[in-house]
Amino acid sequence: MSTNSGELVLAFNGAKKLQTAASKAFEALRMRGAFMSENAAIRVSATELAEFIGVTPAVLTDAVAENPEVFGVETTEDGTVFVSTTRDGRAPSTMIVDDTHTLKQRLMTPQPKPAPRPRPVREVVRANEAWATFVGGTISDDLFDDEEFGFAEPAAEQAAVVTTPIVEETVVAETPVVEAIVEPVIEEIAEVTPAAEEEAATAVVETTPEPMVVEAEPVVEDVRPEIPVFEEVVRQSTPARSLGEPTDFSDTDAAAIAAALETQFSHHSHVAFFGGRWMTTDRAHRLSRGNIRDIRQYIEEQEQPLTDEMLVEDVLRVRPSNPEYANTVFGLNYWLGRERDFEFVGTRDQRFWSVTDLPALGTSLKKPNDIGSDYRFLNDGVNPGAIAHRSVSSVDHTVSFYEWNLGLLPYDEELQQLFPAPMLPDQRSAVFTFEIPQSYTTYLVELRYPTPTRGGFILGLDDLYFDSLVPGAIISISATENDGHYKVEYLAGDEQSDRLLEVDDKRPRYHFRPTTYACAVDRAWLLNEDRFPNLAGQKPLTDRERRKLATVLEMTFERAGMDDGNGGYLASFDDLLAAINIERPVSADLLHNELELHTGISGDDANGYTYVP
Amino acid sequence: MASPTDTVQLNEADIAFLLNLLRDASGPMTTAELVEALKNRKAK
Repeated sequence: MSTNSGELVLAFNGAKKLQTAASKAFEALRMRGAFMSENAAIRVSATELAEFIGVTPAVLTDAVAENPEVFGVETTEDGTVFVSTTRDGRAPSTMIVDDTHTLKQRLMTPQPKPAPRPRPVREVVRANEAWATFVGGTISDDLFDDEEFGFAEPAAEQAAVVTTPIVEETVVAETPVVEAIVEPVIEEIAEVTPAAEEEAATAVVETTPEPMVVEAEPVVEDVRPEIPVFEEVVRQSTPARSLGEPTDFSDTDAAAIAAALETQFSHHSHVAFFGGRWMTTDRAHRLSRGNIRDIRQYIEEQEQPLTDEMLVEDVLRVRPSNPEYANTVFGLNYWLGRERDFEFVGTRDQRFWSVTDLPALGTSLKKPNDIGSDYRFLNDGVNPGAIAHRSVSSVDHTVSFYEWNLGLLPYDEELQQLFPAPMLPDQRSAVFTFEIPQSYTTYLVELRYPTPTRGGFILGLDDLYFDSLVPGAIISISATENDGHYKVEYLAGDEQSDRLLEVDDKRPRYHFRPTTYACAVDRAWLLNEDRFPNLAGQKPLTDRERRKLATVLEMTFERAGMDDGNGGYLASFDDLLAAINIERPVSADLLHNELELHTGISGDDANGYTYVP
Repeated sequence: MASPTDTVQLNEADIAFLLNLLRDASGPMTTAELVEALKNRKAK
């Protein structure tokens, strides 16, 4: 019991003397363990305790023995006797600490290694033996299907169909009583396709002359060891057929063979074909989605189309010294060609790639579609199939005002003979590099191939024209061995100053600006103030006016002609040709044709033309 | 033997030959190389 002051008062058993001894012993032990926890055992040797409380060991032993609920006695191995108790007056009991599930143990003890999950039995893909060792002669039956040549995994249906007759055959040959095992297989096959069933049935008929044997009494335990035999039986019984004799092409035209390859071999499921190069699809370097995203971002950052070699080196980090370089370049072209967001804008030797939302090269003064419409006359009388591309090595061209102002070249018949045809059937444009040796610069230009409703043209020569040339300059474009790279040179001349026609940037008016140039010019195409003074301050024609050639011609007479004294305008053919090419591109033939058709115009090349409004 | 003027048809053996050729090549092959291989096949 405890008093109000907190002091513990115990009632001890035994004689008075023993009670006093027990009380003193308890007090002594309690003082020793004053700062111990209530349940902790307070131990003192019996000898020392008896001496401390002033009793004999025998009295102490008796007092302890009389109060077993208060004291405990422990004897060590060397015979020392200890008297023990706790602060709350109970004999200390042996506490069993259950530490089999402590937090510490849970955190520190690793979990036992889990038993491996049962793996599903993988179907072994067998390469067609006939192909693995093919030397010419025979080959497996399923040669020219999609799963041919052992590249692809066989379809479940096919596997079922192939193995079924073999099961039957094995049954007939070795274990004529397998109905219990074979039956489920046959049922499964029957569910696949009616065709499969038919084929299986046919095979059974072919391989089992006496199918009734299957009906014999089943002996299941003898069947299982026989199953591995099926594989071998399949191989032995797979019917093979002859490939026929290889064709002798020794005297055949190489171009005809090449055409046959592109039409008959390029669409093969295991063949990768791009730009006149061939690989098997499994060997062409594959691009991950991350690669494709990086390539797209890189092209967008550079803001211009990039070649396959640049992309392989800068994005995929494969150097030309790497043995896989050629495969990687080919793989990039092949797989980008299958991506919707990428557009091939290269040639066979210089393969440029662009992305769909990349800004167009060249002028922003006029939309490419409008320029194409202006050049529509280039398609007249031209048979695209009859053009011999890359058949000439150099073309000379005189730059008109329209071309100079927009940085263009017309993709006329001459230039079509210089440049290559589109490499891909649906290719709309191609990017070329134009090297200017005289200024040590190289420009990226874009060729827009002609369509049935628009003519072709080359964009991106703005800087060359503005920096070095004037309208009327003569340039020479030369092909190089690389069908995507050309050299452009202009005829240098003495430095001259003149007031030449320009369009005012701030307000849409023609004006003559003092200009110094150092290139040779065809003076028939030079537009200076002395020749066409009436053009100063004139507004360019609106798109609606420009659309009709007769209207443009009439306006040209008014701008370039002189008063004939009868209310009409008189102009030479050269002046008309140079001046009409300010507003829209017009060839000499087209101008001649229009001059003849126009009812208000009379005259000829020798005497000039007169237009009476 | 195919005549020089005939439309060239590749048969199964030719396709098989070309596939083996591509598989054995160390890198991409050009059309000209394939044509040359087909023309020289008999000689080999």
